[in-house]
Amino acid sequence: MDRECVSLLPRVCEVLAASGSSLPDDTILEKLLDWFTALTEAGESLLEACPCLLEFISAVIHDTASAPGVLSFTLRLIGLLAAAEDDFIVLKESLVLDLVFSCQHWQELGLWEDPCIRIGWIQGLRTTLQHPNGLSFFRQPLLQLQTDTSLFVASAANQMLAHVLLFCQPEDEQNTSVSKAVVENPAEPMEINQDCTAVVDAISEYLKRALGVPKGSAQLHQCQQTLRLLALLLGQTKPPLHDKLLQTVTASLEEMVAADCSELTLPLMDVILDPDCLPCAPDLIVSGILSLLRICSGDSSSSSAGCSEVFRNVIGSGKVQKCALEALTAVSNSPGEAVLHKSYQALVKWMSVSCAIDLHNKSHCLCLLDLVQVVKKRACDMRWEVRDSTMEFLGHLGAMRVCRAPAEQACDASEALLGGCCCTTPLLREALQDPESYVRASAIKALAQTVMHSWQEGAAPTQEQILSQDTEGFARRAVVKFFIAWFSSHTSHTPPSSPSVRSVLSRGCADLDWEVKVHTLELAELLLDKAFLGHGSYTKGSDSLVEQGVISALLSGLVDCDRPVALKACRLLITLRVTVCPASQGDPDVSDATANAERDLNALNATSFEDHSEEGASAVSHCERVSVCEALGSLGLDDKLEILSRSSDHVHNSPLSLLQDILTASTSHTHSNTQPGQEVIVDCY
Amino acid sequence: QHSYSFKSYRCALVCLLPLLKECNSELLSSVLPFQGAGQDVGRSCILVSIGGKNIMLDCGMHMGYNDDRRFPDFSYITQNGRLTDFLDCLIISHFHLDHCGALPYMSEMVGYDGPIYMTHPTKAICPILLEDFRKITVDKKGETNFFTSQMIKDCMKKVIPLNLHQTVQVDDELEIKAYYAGHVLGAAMVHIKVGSESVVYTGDYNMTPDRHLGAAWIDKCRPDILISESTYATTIRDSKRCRERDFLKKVHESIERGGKVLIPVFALGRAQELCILLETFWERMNLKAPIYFSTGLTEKANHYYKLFITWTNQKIRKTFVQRNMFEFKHIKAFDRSYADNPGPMVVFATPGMLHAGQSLQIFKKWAGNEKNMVIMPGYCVQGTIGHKILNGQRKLEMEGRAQNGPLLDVKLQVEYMSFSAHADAKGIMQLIRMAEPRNMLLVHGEAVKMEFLKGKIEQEFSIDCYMPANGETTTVTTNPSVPVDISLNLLKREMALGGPLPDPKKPRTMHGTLIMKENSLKLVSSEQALKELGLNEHQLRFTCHVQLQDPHSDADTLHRIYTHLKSVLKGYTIQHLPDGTVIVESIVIKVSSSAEDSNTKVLLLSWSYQVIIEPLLKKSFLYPAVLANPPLKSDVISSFWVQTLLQFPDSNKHCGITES
Repeated sequence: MDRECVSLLPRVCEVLAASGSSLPDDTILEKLLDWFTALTEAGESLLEACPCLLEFISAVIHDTASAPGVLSFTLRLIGLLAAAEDDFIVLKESLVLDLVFSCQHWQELGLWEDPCIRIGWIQGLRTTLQHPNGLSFFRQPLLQLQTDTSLFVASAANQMLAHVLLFCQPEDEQNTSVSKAVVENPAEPMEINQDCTAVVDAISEYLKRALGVPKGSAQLHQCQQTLRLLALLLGQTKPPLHDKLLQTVTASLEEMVAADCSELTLPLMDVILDPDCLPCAPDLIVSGILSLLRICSGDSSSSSAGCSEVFRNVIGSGKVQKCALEALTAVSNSPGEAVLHKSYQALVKWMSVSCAIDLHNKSHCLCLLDLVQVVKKRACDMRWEVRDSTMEFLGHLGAMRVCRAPAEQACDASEALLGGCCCTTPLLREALQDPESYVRASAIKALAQTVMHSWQEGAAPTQEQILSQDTEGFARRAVVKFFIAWFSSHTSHTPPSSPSVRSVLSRGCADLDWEVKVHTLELAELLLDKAFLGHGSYTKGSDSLVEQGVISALLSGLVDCDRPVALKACRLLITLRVTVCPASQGDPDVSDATANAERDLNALNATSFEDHSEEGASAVSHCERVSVCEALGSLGLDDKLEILSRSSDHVHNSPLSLLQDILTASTSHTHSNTQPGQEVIVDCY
Repeated sequence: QHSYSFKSYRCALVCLLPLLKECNSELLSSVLPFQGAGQDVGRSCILVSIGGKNIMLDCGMHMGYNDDRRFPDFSYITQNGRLTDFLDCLIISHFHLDHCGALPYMSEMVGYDGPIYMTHPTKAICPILLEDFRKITVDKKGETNFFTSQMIKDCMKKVIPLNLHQTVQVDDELEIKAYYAGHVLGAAMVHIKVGSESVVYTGDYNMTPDRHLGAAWIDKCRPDILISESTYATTIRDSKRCRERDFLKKVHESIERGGKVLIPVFALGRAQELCILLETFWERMNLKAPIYFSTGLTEKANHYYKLFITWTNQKIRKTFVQRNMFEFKHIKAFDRSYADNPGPMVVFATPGMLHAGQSLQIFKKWAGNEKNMVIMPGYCVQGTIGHKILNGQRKLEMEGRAQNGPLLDVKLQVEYMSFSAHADAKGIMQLIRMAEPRNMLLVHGEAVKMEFLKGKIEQEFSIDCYMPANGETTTVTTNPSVPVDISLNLLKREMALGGPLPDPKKPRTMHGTLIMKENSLKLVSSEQALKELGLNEHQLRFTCHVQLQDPHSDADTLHRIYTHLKSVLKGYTIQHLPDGTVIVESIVIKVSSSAEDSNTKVLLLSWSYQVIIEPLLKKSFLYPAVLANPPLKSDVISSFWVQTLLQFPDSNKHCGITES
């Protein structure tokens, strides 16, 4: 533990113990516990490192005026401490455990009514149960708390019961966590095993009693809660206990299913349904779903008599269609959303996993013709959601390789399905003018997926225009990605020689959106790679880099206030340094370089351009290389990288900072108490 | 020196659970996630069950955590992510992250796939704020499990936009209607109705118009429950003018002495109110110092306020044609190089809590000069610079400074001024007067203050007021009136029976068969019911054996019974038939001797249930005994006979009922 933290902790404990209800922020106790938990997990003994905690605990639990929030925190802290066997003994000897884990104690103080005490109690107890000694504290009230009026308490009690049962679970003959512990610590094996059996028996007995057809709202609540517990348990227990549990509850479950109580349907399904088991062959399911979908869209040619009632309810039902399409996507194993979106998804997914499309097959052709019509229609739908899904669909198809008929060559799916660019390109081009930026972005993305380079080149000016004029980040992000896709699809090492490279980089770097900037740096990275791979010579490589504005992009990125941008730029500059500069010139310690980065940028650019204006003397390019290395060296990149790689809030969200905040808040509160009426309510505005 | 205390929001989980059998509803209210119960900052998420429908109201995020604790824990509702099966819809009241921040998490990560409703402006602006917050989480390396841009889009695609005052049918039974709430652009209150039961949820609202928004308004819809935020539950807010004057004075003073003023804000929302305030002041005072607004945001805000001009207040709408209030003359877009410019300036920069990005960068530059000032217009979570300086810390450790190196000396003036637009106690009372709810439920406020308001409400309106703690469920009983059609024939027949004419104030009993058909209820005569349902009529016949001691012959015993009944039941048809039976109306009586003992006689009684028997009972002296009996008619009848026969000494009763 940090030395400074250790020195602050006693005062923080004092503040907390005396705080009453005036804690400045309700998250601080949680964060404090997070910190303690992390320390414990790292293997530190908290009581040893901070003896003040024991005093704090004793002060809080014996003070009847302690704030419920602080008491709850203390209960959880005690649990955390008691999870370590050594600290458990210390706490047990100081009689703390017997006192705080007796709910009678809290009832007598009238504090049990407060749900946050009950939560603290359960959670404290739960963390204590990390070793068999803790089992002796297993208390019956837990079973009652399972139906507590507070959702939090009830749920925590459920978790706790599951935890206890799993803890006592006889995994296989000799190998329980408990029996393992008994082997290691053979002091009181009998007692512990008895504890275990008693706990398992008590819980199964409870399950048996609590389940059944509910006869009132209280019983209903209990049933729901118990079913939840059961679902938790069945999901986690292993054979002997699993079977025992099932045996205990089967009769009640059957009875409940038969009773058909709508409030219990969901929790019952959670218990009964095993997520991984498919009831029948996938083929059957697929054909079933397809006929359901046909019915939904009003095609009842395959209907049999007597189902008219069903049809009336199913035709046009978006809910059923969504489910069906979801199931269809799930059968091919992918996650799935609105009907059209889902249809597209399902279609894309099926395209990717299934059959070749046979253009000579007449019905296939007719189908495809339909699809073209649908896509054209949907591309100009009133709703942007529909237009966007259509653009996304075109993008997905463009990116997918399929083989047509067995004899023919592979092509992209949009070609196979929609007859290629002649159909899709005008739609995408149109969508670049869409009023909704999401749609524009999807269209750009789809264009980037088309492999027709010649067309991409033609689209570049439009894309540049979007980059400089579009008001929404989504579209501009997509433009930069378009250029990345385009440049990386070029096989030659020199990127397309249009002046766009330079302007894309400079526009992208000056963008308002951080992600546009990050993508611009990704583009710069691509150019870096190509430059050095292609030229084989550092000099020529760096020449072209300077010319394209890659270096300027990296330097402006480095001083960006958006962290991901600065980090990316820093990493790239380090790569550049490693590539260009001799090892000896690594990174001289220039302390104040960071602030001067922008000046360097100007200097560097100035030099590079001057050098270029002079005609090809090798001395000049040597001179330039030195200046680049010096400039790179003066940026303090390694220090910067270390800072940028950490979280932006690592200073202000550190344990030390937390402790300081608690202390300052307490003093500012004491001051303000002398000035009544000055209180300001702070809220989310 | 201001004391700085966090308002503790409560996010409540309210359920109206119907128990159809008892013909009433229960309202459960409890608060979602986070184990602490009790105090909680931000994150509204309320579950209402009403008439069998489950509706989630708002899906907020807690900005104080970096892990899953920031989101509502949906496993409280259902495990295995079966949220879609459980919820009938989700309604978002406005675009603040404490009301919508967990939306993509819920729809794209937990997998809720049902309908999501919000107003048009909320749908347009929500993704901007979500993107903004996503950026901050990317900056923080410890962030886990956060949604992506694609998820935000996919989620927004599922949103069904709401128009004000338009009733939207979620399904056959559930309908919702949005009302103007003030607070921020697009904020709405929502009226949720299932059958005759209804709930109103206010979200955050403001009952007084401000510079760019109007005041909240709702119909007199008399909901069963009004769920209201109670941020300013006890405050009668000091006059807005005072606060504004104070703000302008401070900014002006700072500018006059050549200082720079930083106002950290969130992208869209209350910042626009402050902009209008400053713009007007600059115009009036003819001030020259520049005002800047974070890059890109002015344009964006301008765009949305133009697009949704109908959602602003009357004045802005009226003057819009001559001059768009959001096209500012004095407020320009900010460039990061401007921060180093000499001379005074005012800068609105994001993000709002000084935790990263541009606002923090500017703060670092300006913190050392006592002429400068930072105005925090809102809430800052622990772990941010905003939180520290508001608590009065003057030496800040800064990232990138050498270990134990010099701390950042905060010399600039730190001010806190809230311009948030919530209803104060007066406003809440005003809304209650408008909507006339039967019950009141307070959320989104501090317990102590809510307690005070609760007392006031209960006293003034004589209605129950609830304030459930986080995770607690409130249940409210309602008396839904269920409309039933009645057949004309039945009505005519009832009328023919006489009695007073129908009077809506006096309930009257009617006999008939209740048929539920195609979601409607109908009361018809039993004959018609049989006809409509295509059923055959069955008659129930009940039998009963009664033993009694009587030495006479069977025929004599029967005769004695006949004479007795004749004397007791005057005016009824009582026949002694030659085949050895006595018949009273439809009741048949036979006598036989027991095989073992000829003194023991067994009476066989048999009757079918007919309405006519009831008046028969009424006239008998045994009527009190009948009344005391359980409602099963056959029991009543048999006990009547048994009692009548009691005068025979030593009679043993053995009653049975059979259906024939």
